[in-house]
Amino acid sequence: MNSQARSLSHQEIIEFAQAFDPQPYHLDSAAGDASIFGGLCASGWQVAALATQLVTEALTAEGVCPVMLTGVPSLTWRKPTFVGQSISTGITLGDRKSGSMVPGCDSQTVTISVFGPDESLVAEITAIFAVESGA
Amino acid sequence: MSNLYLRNRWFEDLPVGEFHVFGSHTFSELEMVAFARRYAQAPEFTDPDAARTLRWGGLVAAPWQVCAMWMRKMVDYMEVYAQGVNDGRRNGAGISVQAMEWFEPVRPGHTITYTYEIVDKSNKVIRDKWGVIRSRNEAFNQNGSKVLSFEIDILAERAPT
Repeated sequence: MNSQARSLSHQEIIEFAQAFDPQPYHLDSAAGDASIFGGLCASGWQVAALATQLVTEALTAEGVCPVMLTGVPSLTWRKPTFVGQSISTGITLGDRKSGSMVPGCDSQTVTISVFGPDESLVAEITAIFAVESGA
Repeated sequence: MSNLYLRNRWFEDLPVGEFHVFGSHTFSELEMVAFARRYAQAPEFTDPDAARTLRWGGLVAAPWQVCAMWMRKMVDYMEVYAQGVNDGRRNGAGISVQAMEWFEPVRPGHTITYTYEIVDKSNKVIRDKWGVIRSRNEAFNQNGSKVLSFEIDILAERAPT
């Protein structure tokens, strides 16, 4: 399944960076241009958090009922995310095991491809969500 | 200027086993709600009133916020407490995360302390310039309970030859 798409504005990228990742390439266009990324770009944590929100919405719409992210066995950032670029996710459900750090929940593995413009791969995430037992 | 200052060091200078307790943060209800409204839009994270009747019996921090604060404390530690150059060699990007797990919820007023230990240096060279440092990172609450752990691979600039 696929999620909705969403983008991060210049202001959202700067605000997140000021709060959580105040490094020059997330705060300043000139510093971004001179960096390994080649431009002002979103913190990788902001991309991960946005992707998780998008996946949560998509799973909820499918009736999977994710309660909370409880694990990320792997996450690889492939490309920077620049201002205004649309982000969406491709979602594959994996194993489901009984039990979770969230009481009354099971652990659902979800493989997530985070796509940027033109379906380019921005990040790959293997995530574990707590889901309602029996849901 | 000493070559041993934290921020002067190249990939080759960073020892496996180096350990830092690099910062603490007390999470507030306001910042938890502000984060969750954008990135974790469920009442457990966004609505203190509704959360009282939900599974945790009160508001809890979005998982990614606990992790994002690790990043903030890491940057602050380098900016505030570490001496040396600020030419980007220590500003290598993170490239991947392994084995991230949240163990307990973080509630308003909880004080979370973050630790960092270098556990591996790979032989990979990226773009002729960067080495890869793997660290194990953990976060503990005020009772000493672990709330988050993960490993992350971060680029570190190799010494010019």
